[in-house]
Amino acid sequence: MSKIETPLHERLINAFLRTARAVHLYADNNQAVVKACAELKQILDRSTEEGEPISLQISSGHIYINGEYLRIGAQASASAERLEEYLTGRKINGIVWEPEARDIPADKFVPFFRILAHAKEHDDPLTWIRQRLDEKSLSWIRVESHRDIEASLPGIKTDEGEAHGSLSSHQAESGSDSKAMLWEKGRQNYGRALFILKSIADKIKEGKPAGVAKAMRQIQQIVDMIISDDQVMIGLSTLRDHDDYTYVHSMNVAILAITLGHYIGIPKQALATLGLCGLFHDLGKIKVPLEILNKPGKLDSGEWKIMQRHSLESVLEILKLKASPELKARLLLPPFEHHLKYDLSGYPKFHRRKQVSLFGRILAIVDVYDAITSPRVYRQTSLSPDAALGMMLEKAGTDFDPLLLKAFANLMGVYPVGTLVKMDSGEIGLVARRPRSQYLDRPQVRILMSNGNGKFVPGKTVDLAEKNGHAGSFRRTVVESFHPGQLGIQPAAYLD
Amino acid sequence: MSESSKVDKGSTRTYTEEINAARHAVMVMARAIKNRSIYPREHSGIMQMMQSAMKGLQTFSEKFGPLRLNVTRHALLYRDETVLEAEHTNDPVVHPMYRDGVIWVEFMPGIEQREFELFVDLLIKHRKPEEEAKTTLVTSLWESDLPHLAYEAVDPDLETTPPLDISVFKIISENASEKRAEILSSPAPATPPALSLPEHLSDYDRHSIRHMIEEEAILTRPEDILDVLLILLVNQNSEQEFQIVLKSLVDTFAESLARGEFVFCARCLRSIQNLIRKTEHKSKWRWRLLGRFMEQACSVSAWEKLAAGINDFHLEPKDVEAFNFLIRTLPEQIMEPAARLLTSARDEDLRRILVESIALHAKAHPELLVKLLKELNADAVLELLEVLERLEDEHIKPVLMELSKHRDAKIRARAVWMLTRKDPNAAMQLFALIDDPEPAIRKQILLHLGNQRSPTAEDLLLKYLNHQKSVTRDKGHILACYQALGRCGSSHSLAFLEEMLFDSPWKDTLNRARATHRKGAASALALLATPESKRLLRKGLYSLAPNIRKACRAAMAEADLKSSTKGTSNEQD
Repeated sequence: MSKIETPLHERLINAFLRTARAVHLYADNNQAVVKACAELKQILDRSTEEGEPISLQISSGHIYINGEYLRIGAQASASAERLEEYLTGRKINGIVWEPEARDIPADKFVPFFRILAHAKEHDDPLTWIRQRLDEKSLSWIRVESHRDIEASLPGIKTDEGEAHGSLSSHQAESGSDSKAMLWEKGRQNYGRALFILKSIADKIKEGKPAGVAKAMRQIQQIVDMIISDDQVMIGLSTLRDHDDYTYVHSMNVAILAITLGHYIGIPKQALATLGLCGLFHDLGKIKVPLEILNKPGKLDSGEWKIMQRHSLESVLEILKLKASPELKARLLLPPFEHHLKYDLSGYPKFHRRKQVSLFGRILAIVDVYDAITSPRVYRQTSLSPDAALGMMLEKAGTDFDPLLLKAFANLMGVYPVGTLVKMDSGEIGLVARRPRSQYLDRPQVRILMSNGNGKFVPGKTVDLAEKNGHAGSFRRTVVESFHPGQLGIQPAAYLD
Repeated sequence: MSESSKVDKGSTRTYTEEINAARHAVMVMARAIKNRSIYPREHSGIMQMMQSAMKGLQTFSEKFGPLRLNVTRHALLYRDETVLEAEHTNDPVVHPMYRDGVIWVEFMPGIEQREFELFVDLLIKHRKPEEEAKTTLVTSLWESDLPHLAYEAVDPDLETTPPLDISVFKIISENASEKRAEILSSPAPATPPALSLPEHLSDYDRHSIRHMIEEEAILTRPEDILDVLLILLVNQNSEQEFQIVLKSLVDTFAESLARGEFVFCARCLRSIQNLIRKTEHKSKWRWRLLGRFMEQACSVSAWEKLAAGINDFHLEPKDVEAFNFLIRTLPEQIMEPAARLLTSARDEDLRRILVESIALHAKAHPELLVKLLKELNADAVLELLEVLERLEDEHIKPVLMELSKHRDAKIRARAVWMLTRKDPNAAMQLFALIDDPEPAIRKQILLHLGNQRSPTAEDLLLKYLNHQKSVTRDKGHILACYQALGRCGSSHSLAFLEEMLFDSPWKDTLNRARATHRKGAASALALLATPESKRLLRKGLYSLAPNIRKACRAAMAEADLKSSTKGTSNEQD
């Protein structure tokens, strides 16, 4: 657990909002306005070194100050939300105080906030703001759009050691050493969580009590990693195991559920609950005979009935866990619902119309995604991640919540992490990192090079969004995609 | 002497001051934590200690900034200096943090009282390690997400876990090598595939998602949870697992009850009733366990939580109806929680429902009511007395007789009132209360005795007064006893009254009690109003002893006043 951001940044947000409000309510020379501007100036001066700008940026519901993700405590979350609403309501995704803002007296902030106050009256508030700032020669401050934020990102890191994008983890330091540490930590967390899940299952089989504290702790660490930078855990979620499918699948579902939950803005405590729901969603399968679980052919009606019971049995096993009644109440519904489908046409049958819970709808998406991208004994081929996503999108509104599925597709990109791709350059690669938001079909790809002995070795990572020259064509484009399992490739082994 | 080797006395002083300040803040905090783990938190001493601990932290942070403490097995360190040593292996401050892997903890400027209290409570809660724990200190801290408390923790188990070896995960793929060769050798298609790109999330999408999340956050979905548990229940064939599910149902019921979700609770109960009806002859253990659900639903703790918040709920008619159903459907074990609820609930409809229900159960199970009356606190018993009034006499009399001996004066008084109102003769059975410390009770007893005109009442009073004549007692009480005797007595009392009036008048100076008895006797004779009692009074008027004459005059004047007042009021009638 890393140290949280200093309250100074929270004070910056509050001071900004106070100034905006004071200017909205009072005349320029009112004491409330004067005081608010003075406080804001003081905080800005303390927040940075002389000669450095200060940027306040909003992206995907997160706030960044000078490119660092701001971890908002419970106290400040309401303020953060108000700030986000205030800025995005004016189509502003970033404000930059230039270095010369240090020399500006506090009362000069008033014209800027006065402009902001009136901006919403106009159809294109951002352009209007920029025009007003020009007119008044307020060159010490500028406002940024969504596009500007993306354009302000430096180049993507390759093995040669360039910096990561600015909107990246505040935990990860630059340099390949920290990346290696992150991967090691990710593998430790994954391995430990897998071990705990198996221990819980063993205890259940033996009729012994099983506590949730260890599982909760692992999931909390995974949540922290995903909040910080989700790429390691997404990479590990591509793990597949022929022998231990159920447990690995449960781990992957937990990771993907947390990732999707974080992407759409679920608060972190709820993410931990969601992660546990994912981890335990198939706990009921310990009661399904192995010969049914691993049957190569189609299940007959009796076997299918037994298999269908696993959702209900998962709930029962959760009830047996040593956890508080409140936690059990939060955990039991999503596993019950994860095969119910969005339109309730799934199982177990429900006797009344109801809405599947949010967590149930999330689990449904990530469960199916992981399942159909996994090789199974009863299926000749599994789908490549991109084909799986495409197939799932056809079932938006019936099997899956259309909005959540859309969010998942945005999160994963057209070619999700772990997809094996062939590019127009003739190179083969594994999608290593999801794309920047503008180009959903242009992820970062780890090139795979054949070593001549029928194996692949990982090469450099390239960004498919890179262009030749400033306005040229894209350097590389995906022309074909495959399931890595077809080539016996375990993506996670190549992505660190 | 070089610059670097010169001792900067100023900075050493400041450093020492800082360490001492840290040590002091930590000691005060540790003392507060230890005592809070022993004594109730509402204890004024404990509250003061907690406030002092907060003040210590605030004072430190104002001068020196955040207080970061490193955690070792046996101590807390500030800047490598020991500021607190663990007293023993079960030290409530150091040990839980070390055991759960906390490396350091930092109290940041601006920390609030509630954050500090929560931190302390978590330390205390996780003081003892549990096998198969539900939570740990670190998971709880993580959940709490205190904005002014930072910490770093390692998972002790994780530290010894080697990184995952991905190579052990098997992917089975037929013809993998052929496929590899095929993919590597085949030329790349000239054109990329025609993709249907998913749409970007629009602002409206993001707004909708946020709304979705906000909505979900406030939903507890009890109906869905109930349905799932019921489906699970009917699908269980094992007694043990049936019990597990039923326990969850009880928990769900209790949680919803505490939130005042009566409609939901009623639905829960109806579902169980249906199951009981369907199960009755089919499965003994199911039927037995379902019956036990009903009893468990009456468990006091669930209803206590309800009692705490019942006056805050805004109840609609359907809620009241559901509450009525709940109270009437649950078995007799509901009497106790209902009685306790009666002491809190202010809503008239709810009170009526509770009283009716208790009365109903008490008719069938009066022994339970008696038990409750013995065990509950005075406020609850007073409420229950209202219930008693609805019961048949043969049920309530023994109960009221018991209550007339209750330690609480209000309850005794009410029990006496209820007994004597229905049966004035009860006063004789309650004669012992003539010595009750509560004046109102004594007065009631004497009032009813006085109204009796019965030899039994007369004898009781005579014996009592005879015993009291040598005892120094409350003058008013003795006089009241004589007045009662005067009202209920007969010529049988004359001998005693004559003796008390005329005997040894010189003793009054030495014995104040004697004077009171003399006065009382005169008063009683006046109230008797028989020819013989009047004769004795007239005799007293001419006594040589001034105190006898005075007593008789006063008694006759009072009797005249009373009769003239009575006459006047009769005339007015």
